[in-house]
Amino acid sequence: MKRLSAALFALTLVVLAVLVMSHVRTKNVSVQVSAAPEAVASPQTRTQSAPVEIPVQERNLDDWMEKLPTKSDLQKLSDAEVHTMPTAVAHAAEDLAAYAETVRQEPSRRREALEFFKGCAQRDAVIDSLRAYCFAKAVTLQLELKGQVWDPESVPKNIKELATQL
Amino acid sequence: MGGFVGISVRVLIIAAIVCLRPSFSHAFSYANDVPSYQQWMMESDLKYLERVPGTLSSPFLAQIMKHQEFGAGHLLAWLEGRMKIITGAAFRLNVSVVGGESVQEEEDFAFAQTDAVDSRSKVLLTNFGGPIYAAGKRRNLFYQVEVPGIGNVLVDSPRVGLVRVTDALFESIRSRSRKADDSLHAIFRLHNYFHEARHSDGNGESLTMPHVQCPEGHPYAGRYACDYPVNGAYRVGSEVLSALVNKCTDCSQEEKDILGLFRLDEVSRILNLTTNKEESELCKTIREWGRTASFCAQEANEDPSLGGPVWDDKGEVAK
Repeated sequence: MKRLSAALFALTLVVLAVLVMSHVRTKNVSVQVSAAPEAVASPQTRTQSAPVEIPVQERNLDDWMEKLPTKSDLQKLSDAEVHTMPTAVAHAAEDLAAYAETVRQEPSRRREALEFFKGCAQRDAVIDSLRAYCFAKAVTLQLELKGQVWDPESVPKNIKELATQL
Repeated sequence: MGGFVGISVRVLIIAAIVCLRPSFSHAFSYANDVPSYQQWMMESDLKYLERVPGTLSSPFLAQIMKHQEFGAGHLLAWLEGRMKIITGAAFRLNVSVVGGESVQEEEDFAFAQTDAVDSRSKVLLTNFGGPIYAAGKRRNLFYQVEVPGIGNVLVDSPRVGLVRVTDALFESIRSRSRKADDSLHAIFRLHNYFHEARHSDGNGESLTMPHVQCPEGHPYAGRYACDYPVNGAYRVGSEVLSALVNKCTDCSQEEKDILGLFRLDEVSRILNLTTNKEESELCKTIREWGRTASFCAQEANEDPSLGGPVWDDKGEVAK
């Protein structure tokens, strides 16, 4: 009986030691895992492959409009790449949303923004989803600035209807 | 002495329980080639979904979930029934016929080869379980796939839920932000999971709810990047995106706009969708100004509840 209890006591100590060690190790692992998303989230591909871009609020709007992704740009991509939103379109989406935010914060920019969004909405070459977003922004800005609805024939029906999905 | 033995036994039992419990619960099973940070993020995404309170607003999803009032729990159960085993970007497809030899250079599996997911590509994730089931069905046999760390997975259903993820899925959307684990990114990834999960559905001609070629004039013209029915993968993904954005309490307007633009891209791929425009934010704004617009006028829907033609989405059961 004495031997059995001594053995049990020793086994308990060993198990406790192993538990403490594994807890320490798990803690280290969890720190690594928690830190990983931040490290990986650094936009490796974007910062390495894309040139340093001018912030949207400092851009020449005419030049920027010329560079918005077009339907012919999409034709250069593989089937797999167009299965979900292509990177170029995602970048443009991010920029347009950032510009709209700048205009929200600086109402004095609304007039130039209205012209920009109108131009973007009317460009046939630009991708439908971006045109629809521009159309929605132009309609809203026109209401705010002039109290009128902007509903021109130069923007196709499908773009206008898509805009109602925003 | 007896008391001492008793304490020792209790300590050992507790130790056994502590040792045997999983380190953290996994909704998905992961191949051992999925980096731990990617597993962590995917599990975090599911926890984000779990925490979404109350009911979600989407008549379309209510029909898909078969619950008039549905919440995050229903969405999660739906997802877990269709997306189960996750492999990493470096995964090499090793398919064999059950009880037979390994299948090499099989045309049917070209889509799932690693080469198609090279480092330059921005493919985010691929559901390759459904297409492998479909390939087996065409040959009247079952395939099995060897998944490292898991073993052979019998592909006897399109709902086997084999999905490969790539590093691109976990990158930051916003070039000005280094965070990829906030609400914006959780919603972005979750809506992609639901899109892929939808490819585990369907039967007969609708098996895997495949995409169709986009028509002439469409931004993705000629590519298999559109949906004919209004209940395909792009609709499921875009509705989940919209429902989660509506529930997001810490998304800025700018982040909502980014996700809104993603939604527009997906909705533009649903070829036959007509929806209730009057309920849209844009048309509401116009109405608030006491104005009207031609594009806010309603048209008759083929199927008012879903907004167009639908495909049978029941999961196929192998005979």
